[in-house]
Amino acid sequence: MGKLPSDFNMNKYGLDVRFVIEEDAQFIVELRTDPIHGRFIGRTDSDVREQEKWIQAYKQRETEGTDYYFMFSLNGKRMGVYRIYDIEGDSFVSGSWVFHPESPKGAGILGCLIGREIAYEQLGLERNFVDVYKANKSSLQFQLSFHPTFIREEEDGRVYYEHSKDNFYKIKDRYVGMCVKLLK
Amino acid sequence: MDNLNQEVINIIADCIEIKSEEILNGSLLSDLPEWSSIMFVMVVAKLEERFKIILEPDALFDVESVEDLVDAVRKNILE
Repeated sequence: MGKLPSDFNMNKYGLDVRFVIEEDAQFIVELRTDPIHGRFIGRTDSDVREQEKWIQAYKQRETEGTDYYFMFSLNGKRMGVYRIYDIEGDSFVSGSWVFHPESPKGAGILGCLIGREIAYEQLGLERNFVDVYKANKSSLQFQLSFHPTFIREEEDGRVYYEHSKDNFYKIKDRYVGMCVKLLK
Repeated sequence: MDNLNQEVINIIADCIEIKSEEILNGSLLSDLPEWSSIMFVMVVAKLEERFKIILEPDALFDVESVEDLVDAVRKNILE
């Protein structure tokens, strides 16, 4: 499978995309510790220094090509993050999906779509696994709209799915047009 | 409340998994449980599918309440 260059950046659907860097630590802590928008993602230390250390460790995985943590910006303003990780063989996990509550309505969905397009088109990956809390109705509805295959449900309410690449390409355009227009 | 109103409310209720009776015409979308920008896009996509319409962003930017959303759908259908 391919790797992304260390200076990776692109513009797609109006959003600028690059890898997360240590200087993003404060922004990420604010996103992930938001009591409403960060409540369905993994626990995050509110200490910015700890987040910087996490990003330093992530950078090693980025170099190895097993983890890519994307920062999305619009007109120079950071909007949110999305990550593809546990990249192994032709499979990857996607998640860590959080966008600023004041970002334009379409930004979050575009971030997710761009992340998966990078995985499929630039890295040549095929199999996408996700997990989502049942209580996270927005994310669950969005994931289910791609008709994924159910894998299992944990006692904590987390549900695991495998997405089909074919379904992704059949369905994504339903969102792209609307979300791009909502950015403006 | 007319049929269109009720259908829009039913679609919203179905998306956020609450009873349609809990959604009032004047409810602010942002006050609905589990509402988010992702849910907004999901609801709009379902409305477009149900009514075979395309809701242009200009019609959606100022949508804040259920009533606003009903109006956006109604205007599109009448055009």
